[in-house]
Amino acid sequence: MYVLYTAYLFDVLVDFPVTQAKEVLVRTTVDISGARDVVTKGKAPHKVTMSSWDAFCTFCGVVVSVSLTLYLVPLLLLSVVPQFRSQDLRAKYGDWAVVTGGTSGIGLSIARKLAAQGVNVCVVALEDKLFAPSIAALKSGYPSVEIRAVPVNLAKDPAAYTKAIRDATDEFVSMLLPIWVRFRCASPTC
Amino acid sequence: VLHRRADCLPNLLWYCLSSFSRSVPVSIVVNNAGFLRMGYFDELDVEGHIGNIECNALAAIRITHLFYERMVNEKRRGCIAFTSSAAWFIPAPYAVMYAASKALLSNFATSLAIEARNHNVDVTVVHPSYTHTGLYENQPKLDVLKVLSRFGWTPDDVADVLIAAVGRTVVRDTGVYSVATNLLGRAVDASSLASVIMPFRHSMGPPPKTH
Repeated sequence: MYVLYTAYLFDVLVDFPVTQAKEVLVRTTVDISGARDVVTKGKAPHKVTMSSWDAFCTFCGVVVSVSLTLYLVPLLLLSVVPQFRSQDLRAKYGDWAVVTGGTSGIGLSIARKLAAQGVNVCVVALEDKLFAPSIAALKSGYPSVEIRAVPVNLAKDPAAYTKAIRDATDEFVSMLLPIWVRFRCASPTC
Repeated sequence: VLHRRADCLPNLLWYCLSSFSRSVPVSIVVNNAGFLRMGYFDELDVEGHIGNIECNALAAIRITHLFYERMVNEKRRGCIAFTSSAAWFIPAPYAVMYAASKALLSNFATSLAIEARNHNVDVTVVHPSYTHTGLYENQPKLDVLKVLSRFGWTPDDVADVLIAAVGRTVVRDTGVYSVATNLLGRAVDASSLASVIMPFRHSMGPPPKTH
């Protein structure tokens, strides 16, 4: 397809002016006149016929151009435009995150950056030699957020790790403690 | 005193019933856990291969389901991000399960992204190039990786890219290798790519096992 794209560029840059200059190039043409109107200086637009080869190259060129543009332009914008190069996930989504593999490499970096934004992080990771120091570093580095650690092996026993993650992201909110306090201290008999 | 107790009993009962277990409102899920096993397909045990898919892809799907369901039920705006890899853009000999698992993950993510729009959940998948992490520890040092490591990214840079991409794009390729192989993969079909890589298989591969 890139070869065809080159052919298209060649066609546009070289072949087309030639066609234009010679005005009439009698080929076995598919006349889709009107498809390409060429405005020349001070004259009314005149129609240029398009050969089937031209049409084919144009088609390929359009396909490749659209494909490349749709892929590269967002990529370029995301990597160049300053306001697209970072964002506050806490403000956008909320203050609790789960990061798997969060004790080393990319995961640890993500956990750190989320914690730095004020997001509480539940780190799910294999309990290897990096686990304890990474969790300790996260806890001491970002004391204002809550770091929860879930040491599990994601390659084994799905039921066990699902339960562990579920448990770590649940909290038991009890109303018994306040009422106990109320009975003990608010009652005139105590 | 008795009168007071009786008065308080419904109150107490109400408080007992209203004790409940609730989940913390997780709105950001980053499925990043994964590992790489390199080597000849036959020389590594099959359960290890399946375990690789389990960890890299199926665990991410389970965890996504758990939290996506909560987001939907609790009507919470959220995001689910995946650390996939550029490894699957072109055939990846000697890391067959890694590439397969990442392909699964990326495909899953891009499809889910459309569904998740119904519930205001953003799904993003990032395809990093070579990154200087523990991924390649205890793995054969292939020449291909030595070359790629020269253009390697730091984990911090990839993390920045992931955080910036969330909710803005569905797929984000990072690094030269990722972009180049993506373009190559869409220009040349898989069969031709495999045929082109095939003659180089010996020079690319890990040292063969000495029998």
